[in-house]
Amino acid sequence: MQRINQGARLAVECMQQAGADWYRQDFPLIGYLFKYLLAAFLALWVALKMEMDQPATALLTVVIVMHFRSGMVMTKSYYRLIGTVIGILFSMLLVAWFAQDRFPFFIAAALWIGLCTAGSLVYRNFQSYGFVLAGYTLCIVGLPATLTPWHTFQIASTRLSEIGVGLLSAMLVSELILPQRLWQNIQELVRGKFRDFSLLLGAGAPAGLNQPFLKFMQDLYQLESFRASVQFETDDARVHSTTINQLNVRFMAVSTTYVVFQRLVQRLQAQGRSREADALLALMQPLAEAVLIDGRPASDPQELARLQQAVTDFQLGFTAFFSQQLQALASQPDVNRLELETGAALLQRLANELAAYLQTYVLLVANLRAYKVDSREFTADKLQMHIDWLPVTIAATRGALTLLILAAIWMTIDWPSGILAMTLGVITSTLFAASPAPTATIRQFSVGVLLGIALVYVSNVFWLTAAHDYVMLCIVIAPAILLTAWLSARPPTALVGAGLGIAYFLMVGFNQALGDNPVKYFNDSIALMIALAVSGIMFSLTDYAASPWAKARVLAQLRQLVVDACRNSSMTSAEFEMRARDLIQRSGNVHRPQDADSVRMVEALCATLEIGHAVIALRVVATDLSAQPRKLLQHTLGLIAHYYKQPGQKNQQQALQWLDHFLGWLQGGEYDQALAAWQAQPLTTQLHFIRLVIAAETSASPHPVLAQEAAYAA
Amino acid sequence: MLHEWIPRELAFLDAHVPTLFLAFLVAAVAIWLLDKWLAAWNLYDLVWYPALLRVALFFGLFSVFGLMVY
Repeated sequence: MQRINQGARLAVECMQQAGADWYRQDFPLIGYLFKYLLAAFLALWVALKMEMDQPATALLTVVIVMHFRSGMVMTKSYYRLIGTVIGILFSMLLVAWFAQDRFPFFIAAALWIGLCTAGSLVYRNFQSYGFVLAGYTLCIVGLPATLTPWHTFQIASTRLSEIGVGLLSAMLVSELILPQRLWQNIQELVRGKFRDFSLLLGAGAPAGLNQPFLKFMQDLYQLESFRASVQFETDDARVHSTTINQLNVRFMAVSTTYVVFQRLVQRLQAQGRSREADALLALMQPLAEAVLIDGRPASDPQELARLQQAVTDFQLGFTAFFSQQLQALASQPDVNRLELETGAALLQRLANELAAYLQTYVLLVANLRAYKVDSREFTADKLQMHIDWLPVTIAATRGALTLLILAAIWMTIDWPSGILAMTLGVITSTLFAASPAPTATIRQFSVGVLLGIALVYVSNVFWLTAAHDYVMLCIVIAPAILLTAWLSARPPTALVGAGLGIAYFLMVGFNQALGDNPVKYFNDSIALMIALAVSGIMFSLTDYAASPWAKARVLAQLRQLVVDACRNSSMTSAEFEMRARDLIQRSGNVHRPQDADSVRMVEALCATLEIGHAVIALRVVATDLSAQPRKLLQHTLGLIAHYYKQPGQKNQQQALQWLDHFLGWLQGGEYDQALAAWQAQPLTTQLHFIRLVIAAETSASPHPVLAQEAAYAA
Repeated sequence: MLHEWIPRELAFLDAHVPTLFLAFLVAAVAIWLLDKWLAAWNLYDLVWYPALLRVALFFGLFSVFGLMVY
C-alpha cells in the first residue's frame, strides 16, 4: 500500500514538473498562436464591417507587425505607420507629377526605392523597418494609382485605413492578452553578460580572448536592440532605458580594458618575459578572486554589495600592493619596471571601470525601485554609427535596378500581375539589404513564398468557394495564419514564415470578390516567382559582404579609424570605441562565433581598440603640457598616424625609433624644466605601451588580407 | 451643446476628414502623455493590469471626445 502511495506521489510530482515545464516553455508559444489568430480575426472583422476594399491588406499588416514580444509589436507598428504615411505622401506626389508619362514615373520610383534601401541599411533595428515600409507602400498605393490616377486619393486613404485597422488590432491584442514583456529578456541578457564576464575575469589567464569578446559584442548589440524597443514597452523597462544605455557603455569600457590588459600579458609571455607577465597576473589576482564567490559569480544583492566593497578595497590598496610587488621583484635581474607600470596603469583603469559597471549593474538588477539613472545625469552618446557608404550605395543601386527591371518587363509584355511582382521585388530588396548572407536569406524566403502559393491554391479553389459568412472565412484563413505564426516564432524558420504570410495575403482571393480566378492565380504565382528570381539574381550579383575585398576594406577602415584618432582632436575614446565596434558589427562578419573570419575580424578590432585608446589617452595628456613637449607629442602622433595610414617596414621603424628617442629623453631626466614628474609618469607608460603595440605588429603579421591587398595593388 | 458647434467633418487641405479621427489622435496623444507620467511616478505598481487600464482610459477619453462631436 505504501509503495503504491509512493508511486502515486512520484507520478504526481512528475506530472507537476512536466506541467511546469510545459507552462514555461510551450505555453507562451501556444498563447502567441492564439493571439496571432485573434488579432487577424479582429482586423478582418473590422475591415469587413467597414466595407474596405482589401481586407487582405489589413491581414497582411497584422502578419507583418506581429511579434512574440508586446513591446516589439508597438515599435514595429510605430515605424510601420510612419513609413506608410511617408510612402503614401510620396506616392501621391509621384502620381501628381508623372501620371501622364511612365518613364519619368519609374525613374523617380526607382530613386525612391534606392533611397529607402539605403535608409534601411543605415539605420538599425525597427527604424530600418520604416524605410522598408515606405518603399513597399509606394508599390501598393503608387503603382495601382498609375492605372487610374483620378482614384489616387481614394486608394491612398483606403490603404491607410486598412493598414491602420491591422496595426490597431495587432497592438490591442498583443497588449491586452498574455503580454510578453521585454523586461524579462533584458534582465536575462544583463545577468548573463555579467555572469560570462565574471567567469572570464575570475579565470585569471584565459586561453582565448576573441571568442568571449565576440560574444560580448553580440550581447551588446542585442541589448541595444532591446533598448531601442523599450521606448514603446509599457512596463518597468521603459523607465530604465537610460540605465541600460549606461550599462552598455560601461560594459564596453570594462571589457575592452580587460582584453587590452590580457593582450599585454600575452605579448610579454610571447616575448619570453614571463616574470613580468606573472607579476602582472599576480597583481590582478585579488580582483579575480573577488569576482567569483566559491567559484561562481555573485548573484544576490548581498554578494554584489560584497563584490563592490572588494573592488573599492582593491582600488584603495592598489598603490601599496603594487610597490610591494615591485620590491619583491627588485632582487631579480633585468626586470623591466616600465612594463610593470604600464600594466599597473591598465589594471587601475580596469578596476575603476569595473566599479562603475558594477554600480550600474546593481542598480539595474538589485535596487530597481530605489534609484534610476536620469537621462539628464547621464548624457553619454547613444551607440555611435559608423557608416560605410560603399555597401549602402551598392544596396541602393540594387534596389533601384530590381524595380526598374521588373518595371521594364511589366511595360514590355503588358503583364497583368506586374504590380504584384514589383511589390514583392521591392519588399525583398529592401528587407534583406542588411542581411549578412542575402543569397541564403532569399532562398529561405522563397521556400516560404512557394508554400504560400500552394496554400493559396487550396484556399482559393476549395475553401473560399464554400465560405459564406465571417466565421467560415476565419476558418479558411486560420491554417495559413497558424502556420505563419508558428514558423515565424522559431528563429531558424522565421524567414520561411515571413515568406509564407506575405505571399499568402498578397494573393488570397477575397479582395474584390470572394472565390477563385485560375488565370489570375497562375499569373500572380508566376509574378511572385519572377520577382524572387530577379531579386535573387541581383543579390547574388552584388553580394558585397561576402567578397574578400569587403573584408580587406573593413581592415583598412579600422586602420583609418586609428589615423582619425591620432589626427582628429575632437574624437573621444567612447566615440572611437563605438565607431570601431559598429564598423565590425555592420561588416556582417561577426555573426558566427566559430568562424575563422569572425575571429580574425575581432582580433583586428581588439588590436585597433588597443592602439586607439592609447593614442587618445596620449592626446588627453598632451592638452596639459607646455609648448615644447606638446610639440614632441604632436610629432609622435603624426608618425603613428603615418604608420597606420601606410603600414610598412620603413614607417614602422621610423615610428619605433622616434618612440625610443622620446622615451630616452623622458627617462634621462632632461625634461626637468619642461615637465613635472606627475606629468612624465603617465606619459612614459602610455608611450611605452604604444611602442609595445607597434613593435608587436611585425612579429605576428596581423593583417594577412591587407598584405594580400597590398600585393594586388603593387 | 458642444456638438452643435463642432462640425462632423473637417477640411484638411481640401480633403474631408472626420472629426472623430482628430479626436482619436488627440486622445492617443493625451493617453501617451498620461502614461509616461504614470510610469515615471511608479503609479502602475498600484494597478492590477496596467495594459487594461491604459486601453480603458483611452476608450473613455475617446468616447468623451466622440460624444462632444455627436
